Amino acid sequence: MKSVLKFFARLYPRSWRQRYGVEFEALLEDLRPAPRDTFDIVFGALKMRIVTWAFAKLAITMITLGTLVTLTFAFVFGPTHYVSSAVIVVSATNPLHAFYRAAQTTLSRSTLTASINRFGLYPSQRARLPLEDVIGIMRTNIVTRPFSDGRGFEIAFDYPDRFLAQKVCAELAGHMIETNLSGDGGALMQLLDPATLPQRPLYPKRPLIATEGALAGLILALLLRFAVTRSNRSAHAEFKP
Amino acid sequence: MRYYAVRNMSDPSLLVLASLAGGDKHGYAMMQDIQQFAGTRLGPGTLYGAITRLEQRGLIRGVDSDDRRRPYTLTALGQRQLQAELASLSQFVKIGSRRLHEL
Repeated sequence: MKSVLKFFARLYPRSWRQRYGVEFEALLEDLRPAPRDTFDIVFGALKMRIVTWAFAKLAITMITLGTLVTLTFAFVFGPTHYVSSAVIVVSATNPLHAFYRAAQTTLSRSTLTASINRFGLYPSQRARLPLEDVIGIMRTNIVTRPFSDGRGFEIAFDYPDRFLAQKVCAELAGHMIETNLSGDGGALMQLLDPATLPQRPLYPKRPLIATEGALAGLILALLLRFAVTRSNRSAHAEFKP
Repeated sequence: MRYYAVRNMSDPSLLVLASLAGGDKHGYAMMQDIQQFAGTRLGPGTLYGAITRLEQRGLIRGVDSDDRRRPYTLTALGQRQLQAELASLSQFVKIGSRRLHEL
């Protein structure tokens, strides 16, 4: 235990250790250590660093830490979103009607259930949620956008696995075209752009997250410096010799 | 009479000053003394944080020693600081007690 305390005592700034290191080590040898002493030493060392470091050094350290921590959390714990999209053109007297009819059929319960089962989508959600809820989630991950001139539309699917995102998007686009062919609308739908294989996730966005982390680090550095300065000023500030 | 803000009695700096008022002591002796008279066990990081601050302000001073356990002593400034702190606490206790009796 004492060797652990001595190890953490190295966290103190070098200048502090040069002045107090020997006697501090003697104290650690004398005392009967308690588990909370480890935290006490680590906290004391960090506080001493904040006090002794120049603000520029403190800010750079906190910015680096903030960036690393937010990026780690975003990539380890946050969901990844890949979006695959396809473009379909419509030739019909009433293309919007054809689009809505195809979209309605494609987003139906039976179509989405078939896709979920075929590709094994949303395994963790399926383990804890009823199928209706999983279908609801899938619907929120599908976007269909008709073009302003009504001559075509884009269909996109958002999923954590980029290959599955592409496969499902391709299937949904194919289903829309087939639905239209089998119907009696008389519209002609053609695949203009096949489902893309997304190269980069839509989220997490590394530059944005890194910027947010850096900003949080800078704010933390300012707050720490302010808190320590205020704490030092208030201690004994009452007495004017 | 000058009034001072009353600080928490478990403030490590105040405890160290009060401990050294009883004579020069090194870190471990201070820890034991404070535990005895205040019932508070200061962790080593907290204790040396207070010692560092007090020494920087000239309220205590390290005594030259061949031993690794360097003793510390109260300076004249430290004595006046402690007196001011205790006067503040005393005023606080006096007013608080009077009000309590008036209830």
